[in-house]
Amino acid sequence: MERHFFCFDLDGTVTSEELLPRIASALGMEPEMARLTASAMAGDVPFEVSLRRRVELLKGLAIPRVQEIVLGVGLNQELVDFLRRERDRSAIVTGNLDCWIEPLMARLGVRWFSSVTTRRGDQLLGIERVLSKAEACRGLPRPLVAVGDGNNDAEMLELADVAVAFGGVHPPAETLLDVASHAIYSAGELCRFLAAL
Amino acid sequence: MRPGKTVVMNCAGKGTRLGFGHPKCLIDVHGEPLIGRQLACLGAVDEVRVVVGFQAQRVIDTVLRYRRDVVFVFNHDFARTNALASLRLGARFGRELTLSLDGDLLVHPEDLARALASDGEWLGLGEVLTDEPVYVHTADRAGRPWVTAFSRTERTRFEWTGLTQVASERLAAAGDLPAGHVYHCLERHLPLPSIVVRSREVDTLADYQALLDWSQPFYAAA
Repeated sequence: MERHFFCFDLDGTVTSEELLPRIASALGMEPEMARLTASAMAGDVPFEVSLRRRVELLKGLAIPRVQEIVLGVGLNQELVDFLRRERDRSAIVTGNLDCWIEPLMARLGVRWFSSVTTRRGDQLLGIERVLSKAEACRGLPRPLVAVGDGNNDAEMLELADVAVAFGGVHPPAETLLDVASHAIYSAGELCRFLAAL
Repeated sequence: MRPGKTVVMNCAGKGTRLGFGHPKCLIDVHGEPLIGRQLACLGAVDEVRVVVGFQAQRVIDTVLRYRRDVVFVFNHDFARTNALASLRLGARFGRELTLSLDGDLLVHPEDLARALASDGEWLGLGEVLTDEPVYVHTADRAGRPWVTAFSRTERTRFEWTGLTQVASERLAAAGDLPAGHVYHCLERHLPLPSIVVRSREVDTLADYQALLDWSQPFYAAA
């Protein structure tokens, strides 16, 4: 049987919580961030627009401080263990920012794709390029399995040979269920399903 | 292929004839939805797939009340396809045996438990009760009835209930039967062993009332 290649969303899939709200709490900006995050996950605002607005709220925090917060975020340990076992055929595909998640990605030890930023020293200046998940996935080996939970994962799932809407942290976005081939609401069951591919 | 069995519950259809505004697997059976009654019998099964289509979210929300370690499989073409398409999707990437359980079929809990414990391939037979039965011809082999042919016209003692355990590779090879029924796929591999089960299928309101009357002794009394 062919060996599938896996690509995973980060926030709410590999991590057991969304990263940006955790970062926002360090600035006391939870309400504003919660509102922006909810509308992004529901697909009410295009992901790129929402990401830029959320980053604008948070860019006052020094990069090392944000990296420290990100390293402390809860992880979906079963998925992390799976990623490490299958690192040669796995990748993380996230719209999150390279400068914020670099140390976490190094700790996970898996290939990754993210949005690209411009910085000066410890200061985030802005987003140079928001990741296109579809573009990132087009370059990955086939057959491809995509796992995600948010509205912005739909373009990745649409391209995949096996498209999994993951509901282990919160219910997957409605738009994902229209393009998914499978929906799984337990991390353990997800890993069991993927191990068979 | 991995040894063991995958249970696939086919719940994608609209169930138009019954007249409810929801899938047949959600009809109330003495206080619990039909799919809840089925799931209660699958506690020891570690690999369950539920194929969804019509009102998928509603079916998913109901199943999650009973267990979360289920894989939901989408049949987005549910309006144009039938149970064979759903079953093939559900069986993909599964184990070497697939046990097919239709979402509109209530099997007596004792008989479903016996079926789940049965090894190898078999077709689940029952007394003829439905409006459009798939009759089965059988022949005895080593003290067990084997199904030798299906018929839509020649009345026999038993009909095929839809409950089936079959080698998954047989389903994978049925891609040339896109509009076919599950029994068209099975027909190619007869003769196959059988087991007899007590069950009721729901297609019409009369079927539904008959199911409620039949299941009262083992559900309503609980």
